[in-house]
Amino acid sequence: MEKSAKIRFKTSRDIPIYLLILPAFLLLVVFHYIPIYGIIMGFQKFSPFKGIMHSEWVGLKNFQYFITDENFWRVMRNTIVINIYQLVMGFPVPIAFAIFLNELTMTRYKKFVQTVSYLPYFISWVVAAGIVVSVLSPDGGLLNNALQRCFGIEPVYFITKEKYFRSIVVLSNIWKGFGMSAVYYLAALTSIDQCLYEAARIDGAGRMKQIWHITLPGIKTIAIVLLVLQIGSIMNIGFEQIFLLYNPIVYNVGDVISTYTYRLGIEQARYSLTTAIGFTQSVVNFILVYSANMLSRKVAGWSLW
Amino acid sequence: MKRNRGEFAFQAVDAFFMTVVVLLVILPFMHIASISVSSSKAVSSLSVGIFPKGFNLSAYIEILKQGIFIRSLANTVLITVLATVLSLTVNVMAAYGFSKEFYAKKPVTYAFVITMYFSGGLVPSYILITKWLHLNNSYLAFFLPSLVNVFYIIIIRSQIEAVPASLSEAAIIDGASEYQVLLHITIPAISATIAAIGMFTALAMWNIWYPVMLYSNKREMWTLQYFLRAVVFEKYIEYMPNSSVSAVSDAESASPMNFQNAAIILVALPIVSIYPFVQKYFVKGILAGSVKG
Repeated sequence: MEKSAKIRFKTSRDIPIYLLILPAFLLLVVFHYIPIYGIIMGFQKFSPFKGIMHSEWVGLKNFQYFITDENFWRVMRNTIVINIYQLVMGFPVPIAFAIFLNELTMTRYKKFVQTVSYLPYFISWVVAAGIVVSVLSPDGGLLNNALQRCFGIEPVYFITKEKYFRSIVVLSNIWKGFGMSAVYYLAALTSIDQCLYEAARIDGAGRMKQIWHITLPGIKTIAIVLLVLQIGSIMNIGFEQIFLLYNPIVYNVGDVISTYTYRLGIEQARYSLTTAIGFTQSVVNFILVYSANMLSRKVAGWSLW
Repeated sequence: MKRNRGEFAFQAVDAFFMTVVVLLVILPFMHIASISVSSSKAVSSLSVGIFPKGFNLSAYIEILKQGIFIRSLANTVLITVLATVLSLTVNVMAAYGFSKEFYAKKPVTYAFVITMYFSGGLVPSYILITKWLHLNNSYLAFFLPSLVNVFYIIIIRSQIEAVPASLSEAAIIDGASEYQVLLHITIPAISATIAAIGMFTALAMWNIWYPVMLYSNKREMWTLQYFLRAVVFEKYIEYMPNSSVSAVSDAESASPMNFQNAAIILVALPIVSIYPFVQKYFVKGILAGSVKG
């Protein structure tokens, strides 16, 4: 009774606000909360004909099944390994790019380089993957042509070779994202006090010394934040890029959780098993992302949300 | 003197590296464009590099003549405009609400924020949309699930909170309602943020194809990206003109490789020609997102 009195007391102010939030709230309920409710399919032998209410309960059977399935561990391993490659190879690229772009004194050229570096960010993965496939093609692709002309190497069908596939994924990802990632570092660089460089020059510090002692410390915070957040998403690899680039020949090294759950859940319609896998991934992800965010807030006093 | 020479050398090396970066981005595009406009004879001899050999626009003409490309383009434009407008409306309204104090604000906020961290996953969403809502083969399935973006709501809210309160207070004293304040004071004050977020949304919607694959089996519902995927990755040759042997012998017609690369260029072209003018909004948006909320 007391509660309803409280609501009525603020009606004139609260109702307009609730109405503003309502559309977003309803959409979240339908498209986020109902699927979360749907997770109980993971504990059932779900049949679309019987529905969630009448499907048979099987407890943790679906979870037991995939935990002993070697395909699951294969995609798990691929997801994490590709992410680690991405971390090791991809993390320094935007930093180096931002620093050397920032050092350039030709303002016009600087602007041009920066604009060009954004280009791959704006195109879709379908376009980007189409370009990758075309450039790496054994039939007149740019790379094979160059290798053949310069070193006499016979054309290689890169995209179907296990030993190249992960590198292709990581490199194309770097290619697509380095320009926009550099934005964070460029912003940090412009906020470094120019007096520091002045003082260093007077003390006789060269270019490289200035970069080492002033520039790198200046972007340390943002670098730590981005690193921590990237580690937090180590269980995630976007579906689109892998799905477009891979083929059954490279499943062994290239199949990841998102592509595996698509094939299993949608193409093979193994709803309950895939829901169980998706739920497990969500939980692990939640823990990783949440703690990464907490960590970055603690270490750097800064987080993405 | 020595310093100047050292500085000059550094600038030269730096400019060289930056040029390498530029080439790494641009050469693949030049390669695709060159193949698309080279004569089909040069293309089938596999010798086209970064400059065209011969000249042949027939692949472009063929694609533009095809109903499916035009249809996909029209669908994409329609979905992008509609979804961006709806998404901005819903997100700005919610953000304005959250910028105010109201009863039970905390639990409602949590209900929103949790969805950023946790989701039901692919299959429950798929079952919901296809089996319960029966939205398969509906355009709504392409954009409705991603219309609300809590991250955007947080960014917009923090911008709204930065608008001087005196502006809206004055309007309320003059008898303006909450909605009038939002429409006539708040939205104009944060128009730059709204533009930036609108562009992120529009870009995401323009690039949609995964939901098309999941929820539609009708060709007339294809989006531009889905069309390109079909052409490049599914070897969608039903629509390729003269894709048989005759194409290779006739220098004026398009070979399948002409066709595929021309499709890549055509689908990339709108974005490639617009992005230099809107990039500043994206940079602003990315930096706004990194301000702690």
